[in-house]
Amino acid sequence: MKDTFTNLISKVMSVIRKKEFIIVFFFVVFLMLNWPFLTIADKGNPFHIYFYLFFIVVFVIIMLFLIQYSYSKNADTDSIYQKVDKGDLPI
Amino acid sequence: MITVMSIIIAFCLFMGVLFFIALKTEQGSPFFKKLSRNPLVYALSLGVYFTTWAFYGSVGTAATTGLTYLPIYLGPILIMFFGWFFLRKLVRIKNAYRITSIADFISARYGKSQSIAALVTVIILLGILPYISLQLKVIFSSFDIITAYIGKGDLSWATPFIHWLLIAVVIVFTIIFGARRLDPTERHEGMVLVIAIISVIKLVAFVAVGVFSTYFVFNGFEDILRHVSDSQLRDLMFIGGNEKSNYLIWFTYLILSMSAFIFLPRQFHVVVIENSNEKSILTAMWFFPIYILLLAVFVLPVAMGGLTAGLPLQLKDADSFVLLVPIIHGNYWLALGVFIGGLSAGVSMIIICSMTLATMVTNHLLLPVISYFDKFKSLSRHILKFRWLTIAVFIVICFYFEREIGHSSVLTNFGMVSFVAVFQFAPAIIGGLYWRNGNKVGARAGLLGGFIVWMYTLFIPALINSGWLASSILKEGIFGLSFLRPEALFGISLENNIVHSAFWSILINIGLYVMGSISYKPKFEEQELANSFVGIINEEDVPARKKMRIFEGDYIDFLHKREILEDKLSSYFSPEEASVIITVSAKNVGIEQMSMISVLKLSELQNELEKTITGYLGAATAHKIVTTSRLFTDSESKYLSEVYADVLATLKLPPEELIQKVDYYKDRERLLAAHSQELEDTIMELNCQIGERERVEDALIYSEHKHRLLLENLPQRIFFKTKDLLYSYCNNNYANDLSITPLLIEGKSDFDLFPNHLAEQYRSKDKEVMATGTISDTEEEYILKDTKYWVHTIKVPVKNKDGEVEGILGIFWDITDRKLEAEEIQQVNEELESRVVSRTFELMEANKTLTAKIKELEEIRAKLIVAYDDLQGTQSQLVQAEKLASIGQLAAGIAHEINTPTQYVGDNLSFLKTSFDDMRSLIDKYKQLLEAVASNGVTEAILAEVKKAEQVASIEYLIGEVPKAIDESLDGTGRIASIVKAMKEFSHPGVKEKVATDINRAITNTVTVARNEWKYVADVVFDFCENLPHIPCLPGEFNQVIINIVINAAHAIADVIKPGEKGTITIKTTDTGEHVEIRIQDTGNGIPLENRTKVFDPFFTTKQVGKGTGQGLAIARSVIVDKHDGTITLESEVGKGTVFVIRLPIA
Repeated sequence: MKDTFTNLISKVMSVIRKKEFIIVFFFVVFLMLNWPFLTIADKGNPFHIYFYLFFIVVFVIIMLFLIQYSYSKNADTDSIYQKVDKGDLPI
Repeated sequence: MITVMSIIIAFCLFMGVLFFIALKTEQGSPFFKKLSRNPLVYALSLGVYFTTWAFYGSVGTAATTGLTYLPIYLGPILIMFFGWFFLRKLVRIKNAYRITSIADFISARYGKSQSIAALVTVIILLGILPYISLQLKVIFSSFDIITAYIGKGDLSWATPFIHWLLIAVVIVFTIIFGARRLDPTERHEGMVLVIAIISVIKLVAFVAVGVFSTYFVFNGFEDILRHVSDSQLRDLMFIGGNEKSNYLIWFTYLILSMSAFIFLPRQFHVVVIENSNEKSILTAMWFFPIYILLLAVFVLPVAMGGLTAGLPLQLKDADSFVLLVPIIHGNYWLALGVFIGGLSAGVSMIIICSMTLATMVTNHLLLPVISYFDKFKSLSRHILKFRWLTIAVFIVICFYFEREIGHSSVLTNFGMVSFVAVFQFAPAIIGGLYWRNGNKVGARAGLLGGFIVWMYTLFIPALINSGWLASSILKEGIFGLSFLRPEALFGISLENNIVHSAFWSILINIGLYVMGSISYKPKFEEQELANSFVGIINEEDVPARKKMRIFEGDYIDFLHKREILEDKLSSYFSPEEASVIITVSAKNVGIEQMSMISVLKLSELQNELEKTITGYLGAATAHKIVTTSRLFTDSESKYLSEVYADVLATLKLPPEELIQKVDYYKDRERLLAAHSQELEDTIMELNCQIGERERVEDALIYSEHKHRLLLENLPQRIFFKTKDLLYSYCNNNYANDLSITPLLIEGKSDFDLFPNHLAEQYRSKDKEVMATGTISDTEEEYILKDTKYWVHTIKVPVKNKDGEVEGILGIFWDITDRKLEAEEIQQVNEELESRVVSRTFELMEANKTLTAKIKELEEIRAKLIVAYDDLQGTQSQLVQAEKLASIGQLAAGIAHEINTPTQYVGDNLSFLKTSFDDMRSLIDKYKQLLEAVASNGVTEAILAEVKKAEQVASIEYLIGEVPKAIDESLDGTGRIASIVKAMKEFSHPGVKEKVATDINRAITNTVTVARNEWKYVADVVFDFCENLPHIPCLPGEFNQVIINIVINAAHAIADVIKPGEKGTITIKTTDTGEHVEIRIQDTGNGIPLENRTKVFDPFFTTKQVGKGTGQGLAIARSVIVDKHDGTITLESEVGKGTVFVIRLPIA
């Protein structure tokens, strides 16, 4: 059970840290913050738009945290310096 | 109370603290240094984005146009998605090319073009200068507001003083911490830390006023929303607010804020130039959006706080809601905090902007001009001073600008105008990073086109709207061409001039950039730069490397080349500085000790030198210096080309692959540089640790010195002996005792220092300590200069880590005085003990006597107890006797009462018997007569006998008396029956618990029973209360009380009446509500005053001996008080009588 969960997290992290995912996610959020998606909340009760934007921002912050976490935890990707230290890259 | 002076002091203190922090950081304080390298500090420093325009202006925007303030906050959050790709790439390029500013960056990418750098600098100057003026304007306005509303004191003298003080402080601060050194690529850790702290202050101040507005002006967010919903402010909650939805504006602002967050010069500086560790970007990616969220969420509450308070709604007034909301609610200290927050927002922006602009102006405008004119070349040596001057002049110009047009609306709107200006850098930078074909022609054309359109569509209209230029252009277009109207270019009006300008400027910018780039083929060097910039982040682009070495002969005179370089650099630096720069570059290449070098080494030196001076003068100028230095002769240039050709030939590589390999080497170099930076950081940390260790060692030395001083000066004698029992150390006092120096004691034994018997004693003890390994604590003799002393000696075995004893540490001190005192004390003790023994004996004797006395007293006590018991028994018997006597007396009285009727009933019965006998004889004679009549034999004799019998019987008498006798007898038996009934009710045999009792009836029965006691001396009068309630009572004992009192009353009356007279006993009952009160009054002689308190005591009586035992009233009180919770009192008057008053509770 624990291994399954760990594998799942590992897979999610490997998806999150992909450049393609981040770009797509950016455009999704960008669209959510613009016409026509904004019109979903920008009518009727005047507070819908306020809470709509607030929850998008909170969601974005959570995703940003996960993205940076996936990079900071994966030494193989982000630390070219460590590759040099290990001799994986010739100096 | 807040005064003008206290506001000035607060400002000075604030700046003083910032100055102190920056100074300590720059001086290398470990704490501040470590703090400044924290990733959170980097993330917080990005908060310089939020200037006074955001701090105050966002609230104004929210109050007037609703949620359109939000894109300015959302843009930076969105750009964080590209933190790890885009920002990291910028940082890597900055590190690789020692970039100093955004102008330098764009210039470096596009062939190190001087013209591009100059163009970017001009755009920034025009775009940012009014923006800085806006900061000053807001700061001064906020000062005016806070002093006008809450400051006490005369302000007229303070205003100009404050303004110039602020300008001076900002200039000094910027120069000291931003431009103290020539190389602007060095990190300004002090300044960055201060900017981070300012970001925290801004946040705290804004959140504080937000919380105040939300929870003190309103009752939470729900209340705000309800207020808004129920008012005209409802439209503000829609995007576009009162202007209704305008998603195009929203979209444009979002794009502009994303761009501005990176491309504003101050932002580029803190995000890219001041970044010392790429990993800090990861922290900023999530932390900075949280920072933004905290700021953004409270903008609307503050705006609503101002609106509902009725503050003026004009935009420039709405900007001051942040300050006015706490002021109008009387929270002046919060207002002062907000003022400090706004002030810090403005100051931080001005500092960073002026610093970066000064670098750009000197490197990209001033230096090229100086270089162009030969006669000014000597000025190049004073770049640093020019930079300082530029900072000062720039800030003063901004101040002047604010003075001149601060009142117009130009400044108010200039935030977004600046955003559009820096938006023009986006195509050149983004294209430069991701499009290899982008080149300097395209970049120059795009920047110039975009800049012109921005000027025409935004900057000039702003000046026109302020009245600086004629409005005809705005209405008719330039040269009367209506399709070129600035706010409706080509006839297209986008309603909002920001949207309009951003659209056209970026469209033309991108178009020209692309067209220019594809129409021009860059030179090899520029293409090389393009490849380097594009591929700098992609590790996968780095090809596999084959080791390759090129051997070249060292035939070039290095000293000669050095002279050429020094001559060239002398135009920009002093001779000493130029020499140092060349030496550093040569050292980096590894030729500083060589006299002859190869052409490849010379090429490396040239590249290294260019990099080094790029940090001082910018990429464009540096490139120009080295390319115009004529370092290579024609033959050397040709040979170098041949070498490269050989390399190509040797490697058998196509040029593209070679370029890739060159990229690889550059990447390797970057890696090494980064690695080196990490190593430097490590070394710095090690240095810190070494410093810390040195401090610890110093502390240890100091501690050792302190302990040595302590040992040397202790009055105790201290020594150390080796395991051979030879001295190796002693302190000064011990050495003084032995008349030697501490050094001379080393190697000596006790036999060398003391008489043999003592030495033997000491050694014996030492051996014991050595053998047992335990501490010895003894008092022993010590002979010093033929004088005998007593000393207290402690010897401690000194063990090594294996537990083996290696010597003895000894300490002893003189206890002779103490010893003598102890002896004296011993004598005194002995005397005392003797006295104690004597006293103890005496006490034991006294104790025996006392014990005998106690035994005697115990016996007496036992007797007394027996006597007491006897007495109690006697009293009980007496009480019983009293009762028996009373019963006897009562029985005698009752017997007497019954006897009288019994007696005359008996007499009557005797009379009736005699009469009956006579009547029977007469009846017999009448029977004989009847028989004779029946037989007609009546004779005279018979008749005579009948008459005789009648005479004997006295028949007439009997007929009259017999009925009387019968009536009397019946009356007598009736009386006996009533007495017996009263007696029966009086006694109540077997009733031991309280029962509801009719008090009137009980008294009547009791008085009846006791009738014989009073009837001869008194009459009893009843005055009973009708409807007297029945009360809980022990009837037998209550009757006893009544009978005792009635008998006492009869006795009292008997003492005073004369023969033939009678007194009166009056018995009255009353219902008082809570009690039943019984008053028994006699007409006796009364009770003397002295006896009234004693009459209820047991055994007290005034009657003659044998007539009373003194228990009657004692029993009465016991029954009434103890058993019925009632009271019994008396009222008496001597000569008139006594009244006993009994009160019994009803419930």
